[in-house]
Amino acid sequence: MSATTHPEDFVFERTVAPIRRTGWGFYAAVLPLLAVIAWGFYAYITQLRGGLGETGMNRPLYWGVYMANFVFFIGISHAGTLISAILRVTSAEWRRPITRCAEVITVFALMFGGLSVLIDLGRPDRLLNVIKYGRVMSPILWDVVCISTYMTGSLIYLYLPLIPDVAILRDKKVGWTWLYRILALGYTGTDRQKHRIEKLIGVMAVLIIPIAVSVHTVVSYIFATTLQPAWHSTIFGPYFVVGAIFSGIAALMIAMAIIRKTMGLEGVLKDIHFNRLGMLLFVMTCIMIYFTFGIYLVEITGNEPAIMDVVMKKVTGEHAISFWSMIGGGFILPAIILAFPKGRTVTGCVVASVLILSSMWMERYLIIVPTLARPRLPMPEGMYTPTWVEWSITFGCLAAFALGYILFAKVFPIVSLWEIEEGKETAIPEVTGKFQEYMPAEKVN
Amino acid sequence: MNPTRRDVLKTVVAAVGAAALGAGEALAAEPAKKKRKWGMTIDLDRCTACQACVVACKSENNVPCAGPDQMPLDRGIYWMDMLAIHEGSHPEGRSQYLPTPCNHCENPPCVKVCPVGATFQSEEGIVGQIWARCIGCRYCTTACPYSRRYFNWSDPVWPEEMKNHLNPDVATRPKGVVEKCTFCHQRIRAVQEKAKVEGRELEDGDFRKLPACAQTCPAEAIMFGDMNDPDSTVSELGRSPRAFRLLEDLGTRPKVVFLREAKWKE
Amino acid sequence: MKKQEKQNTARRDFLRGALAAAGGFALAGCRQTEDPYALNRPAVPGTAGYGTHQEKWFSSACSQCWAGCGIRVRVVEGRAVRIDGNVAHPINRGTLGPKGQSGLQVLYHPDRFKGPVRRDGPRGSGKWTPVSWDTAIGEIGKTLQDIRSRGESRGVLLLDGEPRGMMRDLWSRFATVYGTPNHVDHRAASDGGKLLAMAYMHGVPEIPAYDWNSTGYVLGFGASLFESWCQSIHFMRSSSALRRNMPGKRVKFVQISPRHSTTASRADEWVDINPATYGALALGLSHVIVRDGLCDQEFVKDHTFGFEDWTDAAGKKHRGYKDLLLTDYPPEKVSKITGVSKKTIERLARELVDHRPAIALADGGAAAATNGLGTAMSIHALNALLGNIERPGGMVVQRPAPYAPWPDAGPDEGAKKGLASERLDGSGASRLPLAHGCIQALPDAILAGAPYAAQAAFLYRSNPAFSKPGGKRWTEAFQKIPLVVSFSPLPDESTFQADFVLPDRTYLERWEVVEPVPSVGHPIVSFRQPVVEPLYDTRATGDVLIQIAKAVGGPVGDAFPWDTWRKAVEERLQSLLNVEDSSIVAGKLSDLRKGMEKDSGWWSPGFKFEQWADAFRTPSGKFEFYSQEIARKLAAVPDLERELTARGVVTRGDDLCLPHWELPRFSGSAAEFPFTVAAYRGIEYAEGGSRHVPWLREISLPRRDAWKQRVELHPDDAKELKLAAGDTARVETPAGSARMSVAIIPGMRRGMIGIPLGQGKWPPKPDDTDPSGGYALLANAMDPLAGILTLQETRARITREKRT
Ligand SMILES: Nc1nc2c(c(=O)[nH]1)N[C@H]1C(S)=C(S)[C@@H](COP(=O)(O)OP(=O)(O)OC[C@H]3O[C@@H](n4cnc5c(=O)[nH]c(N)nc54)[C@H](O)[C@@H]3O)O[C@H]1N2
Ligand SMILES: Nc1nc2c(c(=O)[nH]1)N[C@H]1C(S)=C(S)[C@@H](COP(=O)(O)OP(=O)(O)OC[C@H]3O[C@@H](n4cnc5c(=O)[nH]c(N)nc54)[C@H](O)[C@@H]3O)O[C@H]1N2
Ligand code: SF4
Ligand code: SF4
Ligand code: SF4
Ligand code: SF4
Ligand code: SF4
Ligand SMILES: [Mo]
Repeated sequence: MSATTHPEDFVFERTVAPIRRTGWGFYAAVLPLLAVIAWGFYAYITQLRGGLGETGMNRPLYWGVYMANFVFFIGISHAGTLISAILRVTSAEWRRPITRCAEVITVFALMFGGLSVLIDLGRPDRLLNVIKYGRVMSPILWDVVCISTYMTGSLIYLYLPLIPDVAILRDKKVGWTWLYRILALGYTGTDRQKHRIEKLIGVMAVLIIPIAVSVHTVVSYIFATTLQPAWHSTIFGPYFVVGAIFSGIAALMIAMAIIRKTMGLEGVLKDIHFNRLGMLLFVMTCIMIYFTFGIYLVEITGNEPAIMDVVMKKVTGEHAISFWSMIGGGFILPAIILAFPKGRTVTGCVVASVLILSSMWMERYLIIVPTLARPRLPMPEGMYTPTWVEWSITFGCLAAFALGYILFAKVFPIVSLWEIEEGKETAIPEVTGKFQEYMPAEKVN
Repeated sequence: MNPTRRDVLKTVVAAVGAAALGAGEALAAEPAKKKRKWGMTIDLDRCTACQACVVACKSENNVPCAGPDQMPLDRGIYWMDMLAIHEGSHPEGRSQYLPTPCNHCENPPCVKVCPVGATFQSEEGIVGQIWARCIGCRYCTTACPYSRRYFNWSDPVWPEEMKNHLNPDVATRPKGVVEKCTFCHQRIRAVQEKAKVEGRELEDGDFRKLPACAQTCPAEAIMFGDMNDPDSTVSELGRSPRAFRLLEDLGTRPKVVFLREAKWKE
Repeated sequence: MKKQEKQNTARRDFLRGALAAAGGFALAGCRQTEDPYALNRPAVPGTAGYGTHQEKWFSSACSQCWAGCGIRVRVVEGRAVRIDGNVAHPINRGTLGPKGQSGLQVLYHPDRFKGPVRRDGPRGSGKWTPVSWDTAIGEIGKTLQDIRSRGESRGVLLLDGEPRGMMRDLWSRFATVYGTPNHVDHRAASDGGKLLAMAYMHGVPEIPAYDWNSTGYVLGFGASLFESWCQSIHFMRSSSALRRNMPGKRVKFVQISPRHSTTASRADEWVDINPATYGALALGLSHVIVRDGLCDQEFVKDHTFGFEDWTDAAGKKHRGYKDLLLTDYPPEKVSKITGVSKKTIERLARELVDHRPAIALADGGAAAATNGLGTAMSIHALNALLGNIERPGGMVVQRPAPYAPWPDAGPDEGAKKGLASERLDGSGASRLPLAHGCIQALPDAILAGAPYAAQAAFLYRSNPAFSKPGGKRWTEAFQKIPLVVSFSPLPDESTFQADFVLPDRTYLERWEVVEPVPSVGHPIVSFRQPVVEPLYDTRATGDVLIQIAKAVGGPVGDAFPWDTWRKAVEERLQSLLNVEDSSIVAGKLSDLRKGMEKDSGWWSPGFKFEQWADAFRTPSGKFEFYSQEIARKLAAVPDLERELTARGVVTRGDDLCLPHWELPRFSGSAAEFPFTVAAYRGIEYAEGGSRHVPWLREISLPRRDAWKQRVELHPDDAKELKLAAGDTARVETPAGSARMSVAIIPGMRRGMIGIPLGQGKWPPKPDDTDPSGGYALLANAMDPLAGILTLQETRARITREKRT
């Protein structure tokens, strides 16, 4: 197969359509986003000038929405690269149309995760001190290392499979050909090139999994390594990783649903994909419920006063409404929806995902705020109400995330063209081959 | 607590601390035979909750006031704070007041988490703060189990005239950085330097009331000194059966020791 | 340069370098040698006299309350940067309270008047135009001259906030030579009860000193020993020593009060009591002591008068204190009045006796009630029963410092006439026969113009429109006075009513000889000197008063022989030279000054006990349970019986001259106003004049309420009223109403609301309709014979108000 023999089928046409033309829909999506971003930017300028006093944070509520955003974004970053890598490594054939849109989520989510930390800094101007005076002992440094590694890895992992696609676009003279020429690195689709790329992708897929796991583990370590009540827990690592995959899949399904709808790719991102991802999400929901149950059971039966203070704040105190709607609406309800094939329709999955995503943000918030509000010493209880600055910046980040995603789809194929094509060619033999491997051997040695 | 782990952590902390001190540490130059370990005792049986220590610390260390807008938002900065603990209510109630500086923990959770070494443990056991390096991530503030660290939510403001009373020995801090009790190290340096010039050995009496809070305390509840010196006032008081430390079970090993007798007995 | 000098400089340079390095320590990690955030500091006068980094230390005296602590002020390049306690000073021994620490923020307060001003616009508008010192003093002198030549000198009011010391002497001298009886202080509203008890029972109208360091037991009747109270700092040091300095021994401190205050929480035992019933409890304790024959028989026999029944020269039989106690105050009855159990009464009495020498004391607010004099006398009498007077571990009357008095001013005929007039506040006359002054009675008298019209008022360290009940009434009264002059360095409610403001220098900019409130038991003065150049075009009020007197001229001017106030100060110091037995024995003023500069005061060492010769200055020369002076004054009241009935006094006959108990009378009906107001001074409050100091405002607990005027409620009361912490509530009393922020305080008694005084807004606004920080909510009621302002007997209701 050579780079010039690509089919002019509907997958290609639909995927390339936004690259070819700029419809009103594009503006309708981009302009409001730009407005929200500009507003968020204004809010940030306000914060830069006035200091973090412009937020609702205080002593002892030293961390608030920004840290919740950080954990949240890093969480959904797991949607992409990790899921795509797992699917690749396990050669799940149905992955082919969804890898790209998943990987893109990772890149942008990481970007805004990182940015959230920067926004949270009292002295962003001294960011380089982290490099100049970096101290390995600090979990923040572990985060810096892991996240930047993950970011690099994810970029590579996004880029590698993109090479054949940009080569196609270059050859087809669609869109920003000059850019594709540079990015394609002279890829012409020779077997050697292809082989090499696939090999690299394979290696990256294996490498990226531990990195991804490490990322959310160390994010959890930021909390777990301190002595704060309800943070200081060994389960936080896996709990955060699972939570990340959980929210990641939800984010991915929402993204897929939007792509499918707006680009008319119902034939590519099929119901079966939602069904499969839905199953995966169901499993994650169950694990989440299991973990959450375990954590609270242990905390409550341990009945340590400092921890109970925090737990009760969530269970019966001022955060009870958020907490129970998180449990009910974010865990139980999605589990019910996703448990049944009838629920794992596109609509069902999207509804479940939206519920999960918002609950997971709340979950992050509820990890941070109640613990900080209840310091160990008997001080007056902390109180925290995020200000307009925090909300504006948060929505600015979300908007920028969406914008980044849209712009990516405007420049690059959001569905991996060559992988689908390749799938068509190789899937059946591959699957049959696999199948044969599983079959009882004809003769026993 | 596992001593091996602690020792490992300590070595790392010490190394980093020493690096952070840089030029400053070279000045430590007190002709002491043994390394000092600064500590403080606060006698709650003496303390009257007058808060002179709180004001003295603000004045000595140029700690800004938060003002009427920021105080209700819990933005006040108190290197020395007053903790009021109430149990029950009138007529059965009990109240306890605790003056709370930084504990200068021997195993300080705050130091461990700082990504840039802006907070460090000096050779003499002071948990110091390099304001000019701090990036304001507030990790140390969340990590300190005693909430003894304060963040500058905005630039400090003094009415123009009141800038006159700023202590020239202590830098003011800009917005966006964390600050905390330093055991008035500027005063420690000053007496050490003075003793060096005078060619004199320093004694317990030179330190007992050295920090601003200890100096002003009308009830003489606060004592300061070298915990490595077994005969110092703080060491002696630290051995008292009345002695306890805050949240001892966390293993932070505070160097601020409180003293309290349960009750008056006939 | 000589070698020695050179060495010194080198050493100094080195030290300076070391200090700078020390300052840089925190930054050392970044290898920053300079402080990058040093704020640009405004220029102040006097910096020119200093070299770069040069620092000096000055000894002086604190003035944030009347305790008279010695201070040391560090001045760097002409700026005062730190106040420490003076180790040499016997009152505070190097320590300093929070108010003392905060003095720098008074000195550098941005709201200070920058020079003399004249009112511009109607009274109370707060609009001023600058005026020259000469013009102001000239005009005021002229007006005073006119008043005096009209023979109306008695109409000049000198409202003097300083209870003792040189400035008080100066005002007093002015009153005498000018001819006005109206030199009015604030004592009726403060320690009046205790002072009167001392005056009538001891013959010395002065707060006693307590020998804390060797006492065995302290029983506080509502005294705010750890929060306000002028002997606080001394008591703090002592109480701490009492508890911890004697191995194996710990002296017990019992606090009796309705509110579980900070003091109560720091005491070894706290006894809850119904408001305004201390007197009854003291009488109950005395009953037990006398009943069981446990009083100090010897002391009572040798040094007291009126214990047993007695017969006077005219053969009239009189009731003794013993009989009054034994018949009228059995513990059952006392328990009912006070709410303190019989068992506790019996136990406390025993403890007092068993731990002799023991001290029983009440202060300020505690005796400030409609039954104030009887209460103060009852408490004070306990000390006599226990034999603690003039004895180690008890109380002594602190003798004044032996400086030479000024030569008699010698009022002229006109002045004598004025001085002989009845006081405008009615004290001493039949209106208030037992009072030594009654500042809170002034507004009514001024508004009524009776017994005569007020001609002028001088406000020295006084802000009655804020600090006395019915602030609005004061504002109205000021409108009626043709000339009002304020010397306040800072704007305040009363100053807004002034025609002239002649700003005083703050206490860190002026000379003074301070007579501290008695506390250490021996003669003492503190010495005050300027530590920095005066910041603004201000003048010490001492100077201004001398200049005004000279502008009045004639005998008034002649009575002030000093060119400057500083001369007068030095003259007084000079007279302390070579007094035997003193901290400074020197021949020359310069030596004295040197000594003073180090020690910031003069004192003679140690307590002196059993000085019976001049211990009591009563008619009997003894401690008088039965006050003959009271008897004499009451006898002078025409138709006493009718007066007593008219004022609702129940006690009659001999009991009026003995410690006794009157039912407290609350303002406002319990039905309409279900709560009792407990107004109190927190440690963060330095009278009204300093409620603007950020350091003090921000030590408020809970911190969130700093800068707010709060009202404190018991958690259950709050629940019933559906009030949560931080809500805004309206507090109404018969005297007024104000909006306050709700604080829920577990130590508050049910049915009481706590109002920490002196919070609320700053700067004060002339048109402030909601003067919540002042005492505006308290009813203007008092002990009907002694004029002691009640601070405990105002009722209130409280309702929730939505935030506007
Ligand atoms: N912090 C501070 N200290 C000060 C001053 C200051 O302004 N601030 N001012 C100085 C001056 S001028 C003076 S005169 C002294 C006075 O100081 P103190 O002589 O101590 O008098 P107060 O503080 O007025 O009252 C003492 C306590 O009485 C309590 N109290 C006792 N009994 C009762 C009762 O039955 N009912 C009610 N409602 N309350 C009761 C009050 O709650 C208050 O806490 O303090 C001096 N020291
Ligand atoms: N309800 C209630 N009422 C009370 C009391 C109470 O406990 N409860 N306390 C009473 C007592 S004890 C007292 S002493 C009075 C206090 O009442 P005031 O003597 O009226 O005290 P302040 O309100 O502090 O006003 C003092 C004024 O002096 C000014 N001032 C400050 N420093 C200086 C200075 O150095 N020189 C000059 N010239 N002026 C200066 C201040 O600016 C302020 O305007 O209030 C009494 N009123
Ligand atoms: S008390 Fe807190 S800030 Fe101080 S050393 Fe310990 S952990 Fe660090
Ligand atoms: S806030 Fe500053 S001192 Fe604290 S951890 Fe962050 S960089 Fe370190
Ligand atoms: S030791 Fe110094 S810095 Fe620490 S609380 Fe005391 S006065 Fe403040
Ligand atoms: S200064 Fe002394 S007595 Fe006052 S609060 Fe501080 S420790 Fe307690
Ligand atoms: S007790 Fe009074 S005089 Fe002494 S430091 Fe405090 S305010 Fe000043
Ligand atoms: Mo007073």
